Amino acid sequence: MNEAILRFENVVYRYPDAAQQALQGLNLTVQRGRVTAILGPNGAGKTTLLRLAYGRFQPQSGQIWLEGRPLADYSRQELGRKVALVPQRETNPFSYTLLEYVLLGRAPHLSPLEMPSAADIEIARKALETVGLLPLVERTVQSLSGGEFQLLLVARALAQQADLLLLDEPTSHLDLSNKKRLVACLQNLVVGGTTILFTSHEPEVVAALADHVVLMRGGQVLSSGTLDEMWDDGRLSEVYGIPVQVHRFDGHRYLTWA
Amino acid sequence: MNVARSAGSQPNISAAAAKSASRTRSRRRLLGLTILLLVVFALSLFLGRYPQVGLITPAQLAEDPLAQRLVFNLRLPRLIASVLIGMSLAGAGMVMQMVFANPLVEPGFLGVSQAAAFGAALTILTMGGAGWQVQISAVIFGLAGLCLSYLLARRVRYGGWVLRLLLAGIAVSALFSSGVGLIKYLADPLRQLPDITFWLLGGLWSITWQAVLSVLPLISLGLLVLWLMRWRLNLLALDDEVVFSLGVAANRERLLVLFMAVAVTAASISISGLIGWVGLLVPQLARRFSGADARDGLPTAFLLGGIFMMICDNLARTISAGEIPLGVLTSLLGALGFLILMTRRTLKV
Repeated sequence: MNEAILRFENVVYRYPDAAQQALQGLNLTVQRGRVTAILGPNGAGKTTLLRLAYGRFQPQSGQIWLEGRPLADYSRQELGRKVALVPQRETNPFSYTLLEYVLLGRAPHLSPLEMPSAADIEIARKALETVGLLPLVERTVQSLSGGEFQLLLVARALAQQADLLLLDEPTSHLDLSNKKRLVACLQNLVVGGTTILFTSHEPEVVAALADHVVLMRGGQVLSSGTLDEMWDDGRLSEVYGIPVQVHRFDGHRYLTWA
Repeated sequence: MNVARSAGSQPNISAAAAKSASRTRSRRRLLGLTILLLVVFALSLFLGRYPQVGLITPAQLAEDPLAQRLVFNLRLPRLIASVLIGMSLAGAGMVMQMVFANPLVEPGFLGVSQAAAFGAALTILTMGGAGWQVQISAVIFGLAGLCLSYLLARRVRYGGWVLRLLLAGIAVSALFSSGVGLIKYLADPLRQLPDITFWLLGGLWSITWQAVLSVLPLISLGLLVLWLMRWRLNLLALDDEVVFSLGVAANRERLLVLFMAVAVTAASISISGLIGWVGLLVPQLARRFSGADARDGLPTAFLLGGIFMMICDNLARTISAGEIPLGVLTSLLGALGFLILMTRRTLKV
């Protein structure tokens, strides 16, 4: 299972008009079947890294490999079948039903004039079932709470049937109970063998989900390794630039900061 | 993801039943609307002020050659035109609302309507304004308005793509409407100004078979392409990064459907003059009726647009002995309808 699905090699990216590079020679490997978390302060380049991973931006130098092939060689539609994104926020003014919304995840599998088939609808329903929203299937998107909407976006990404699932700060504006619900849903996916790469500002979410942790700062990877290796006072203090302490209690890890 | 992947091969029976039930429901709704459109069409053909105010009887039609000519050479092309125009404006409005992810947008945005009006007024001022000259000029200027908005949007250095297009469209509209103002100022108040004013108010009194046939190919092609891409419209309403991650070349597809929407709009108003509010109101109604998904929403908008326009034109030509400008009526009914929709308890767009 230790095959690399995604690999960044000395990747440099600078936004147009920006003085500084957002990613400065970044190296990173995401293993298939694992959950990789990216942790780092604001402006570390986490979201930029995700944008490069689904092909939205191309690096100015360096190489990104997806399943052993340069990412730039994939067509956009092919990429949509390989990599799915759950964005941090999403707006849509129209009152779709949940099923109609999740069905949009089938787009990379359909040609421009094709309508979703009965099989596509079945896949969308299964995705809704996986995230626990099937009972609400005929409700409209607008009637969902913030937590349910986040689950809906996960369902749409599942309907994409991609090999790699990217999540950009999936729990950042959820309350505790919704956070728990989303984490439980993602844990189920992990058991099912889904490969996940996500960014987060929340150590407890990272601790609950990740096998592999990447610590980023200033557009570079400071260090990466297993959760146990990375959950270290010195490393976390270095990433955030403030003293951070890791406490272990009852099999759980807690962070405190000064 | 493996969970979902295994699903495709073994359809769940109750799910399939539920799915087919909801599809049957929406198909029945569309069929109902189609029948309604045909009924309104047939009634409208017999409705008018000759030989008496109200419906013409089949006996009168069989005996009176003037009535026959009236029905087949004046009313029939006029009705077909009103259906085509209603479908075009409503469909284009739906497309624009989806592409701009904004339920308050209509074809007048992007500078299309004002540019077409400018083209028509310019032709009336400089070339005398024969029917075909006005039409061609309106289509060309309408498309030019879109191109100008598009090129400007690429240069605007503020906001996302959709916002930039909207800003550019507002600027282009203002530019062309000031041009229209200038032409009205320059126009001969006795000969040209009435023509320009009538065109700006909109109406179908001068529609001939020739006018209908001249726009039929472009409108049919445009509506067909939009209809074929109706599920796709839902994708184009998503945020840029999301639609990209779904593997869709969104800006290319948005441009294609916008081009088609503008083409059918420009072709329509080239034979009718400016007709407002249909493109804003009817898509809103269509979504209430069939839900947000454009798979049903777009055909619903086509049908409701055709029905709405026929009814408006019937009123325009039968209420009084002199014809009421159609654009004035659609604005009146459209604005009233819109206010009612917007002030209802639940705002569902």
